[in-house]
Amino acid sequence: MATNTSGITLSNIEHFPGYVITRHLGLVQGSTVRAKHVGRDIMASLKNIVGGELKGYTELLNESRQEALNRMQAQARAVGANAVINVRFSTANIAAGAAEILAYGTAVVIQREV
Amino acid sequence: MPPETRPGAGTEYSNPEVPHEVNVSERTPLRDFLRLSIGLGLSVVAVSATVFFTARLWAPLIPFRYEMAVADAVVEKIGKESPSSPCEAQTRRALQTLADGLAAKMALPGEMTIRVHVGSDKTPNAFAMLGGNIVINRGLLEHVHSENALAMVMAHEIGHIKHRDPIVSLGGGIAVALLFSAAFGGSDGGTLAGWALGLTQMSFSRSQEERADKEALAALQAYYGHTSGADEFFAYIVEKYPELARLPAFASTHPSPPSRLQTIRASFPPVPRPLKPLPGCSKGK
Amino acid sequence: MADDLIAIAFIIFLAAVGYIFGSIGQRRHYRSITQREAQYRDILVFNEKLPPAEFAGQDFALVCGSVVMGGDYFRQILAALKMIFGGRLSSFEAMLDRGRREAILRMKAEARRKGARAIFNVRLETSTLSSAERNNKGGLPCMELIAYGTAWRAPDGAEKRAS
Repeated sequence: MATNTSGITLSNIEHFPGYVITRHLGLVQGSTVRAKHVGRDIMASLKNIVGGELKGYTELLNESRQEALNRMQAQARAVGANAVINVRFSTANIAAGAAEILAYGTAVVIQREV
Repeated sequence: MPPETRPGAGTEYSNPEVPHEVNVSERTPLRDFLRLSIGLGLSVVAVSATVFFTARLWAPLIPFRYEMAVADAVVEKIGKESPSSPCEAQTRRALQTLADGLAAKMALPGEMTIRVHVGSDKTPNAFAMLGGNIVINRGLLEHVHSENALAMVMAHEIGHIKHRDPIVSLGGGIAVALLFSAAFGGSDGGTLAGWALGLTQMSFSRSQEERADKEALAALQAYYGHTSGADEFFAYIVEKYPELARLPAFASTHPSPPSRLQTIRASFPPVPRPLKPLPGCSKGK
Repeated sequence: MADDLIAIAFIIFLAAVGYIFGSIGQRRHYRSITQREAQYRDILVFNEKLPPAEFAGQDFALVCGSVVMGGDYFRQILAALKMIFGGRLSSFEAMLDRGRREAILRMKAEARRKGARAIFNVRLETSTLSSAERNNKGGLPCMELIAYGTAWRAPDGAEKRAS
């Protein structure tokens, strides 16, 4: 994973035993605003009658979070990083049916200690 | 860092089971729900009852302009019905002039204004309503023969308004309505107006009636210089509804018409004075 | 007036449905949570930043679990009543507890898929999704609960370290 050159390794930690960070490349972020579509909304409001998990929303937000992470990784790749560390998430309710998912972290070049 | 040289070697990392129950008060929410509903119900009843029964004490403290604002919605309806002919408009104007003349002698509080309306009802009667509005039924105009008699009824109603009797009578109902519309929304004024309209036939207490009579006699004395003719309407009531007179005074919250008649006649001058003709445009002429 | 009564009856009906099915669902969910918690017991979670030295040089990855939980009308009415008198909102406590434990379980499941052994620097986040600001006009509470952390592969052999 950490040595994978094609992908960008992610972590919410800043220091890694057994690794050295050779370059710090600054803040990278990915965000997306998604609206739940009507079908999902209707299903969710039906489900809301009995409470419990709203699977439609969970999936929607998971997709959004993945999208935000992908965008952040794209930024990291563009600056020549191989990892993003200290990743943080934030979810904000933009409007009645829309939420922003934000992921941000520090792009770095990380190597195993030898 | 080779794995053999762990700092703090021997430190154990494990996840023993934690008691998750501490974060959830596992009690059936249904019991909570019932307890809270009953509590809320009792509170609403208690607050409404308190407001309703203490309204008499604090209703007169409500500024008169608020009372007028509430009354306006109701008066709109009554006011639009009346001026159907030039004759009626003339009558209304004449009654308003009479009311203004009487009011000038009655030392009303500053912001209080009297507005007279002619009701289409044939019953000989008049009402004091919220917001300084007085309704004189057409029936009353047909049954009295002098301005003095009409002035007595009108001054009596102005007396009620001067002492804020309408809002004291309605106070409880209005206050509870206000409370509910504030608590449950939908306070568009229409509900309030509906309440007020439904309760315009309010009843005043015996002491309120007696005080209004006293105010009226004093006003007539000041306006005409005597109270002659003030008894006409009450004499008519006594004659028309003799059963009212037979009720013992203590059984009724109203002073019985005969006793009011006595009070009025006691204030008469020794020699009857000439009476003024009925103002306005009456159909007799 | 009749419309109001129908609306009130409908809300009471929804609340009753919410209470009955919500309770059944909650019991079932808790059973499933307890069972899966036993199943994922071997994946350790800590919210310290750094893993112990034995994980040094092992593969790591971000793992994340999330769930959106909704309230029902019964809870909502109960909450509205509680907000007058104050006190513990046990029904919402259960809703958030279930959601958070579910999110942790999903994070652990992702960690297992990635072959990890322990998750460090675990963070828990709660965000309100529903339109709470549309002051309770049909807006039932809706929360997203997230758990995320850095999962580390177990220090189980020299062959991995050689890679």
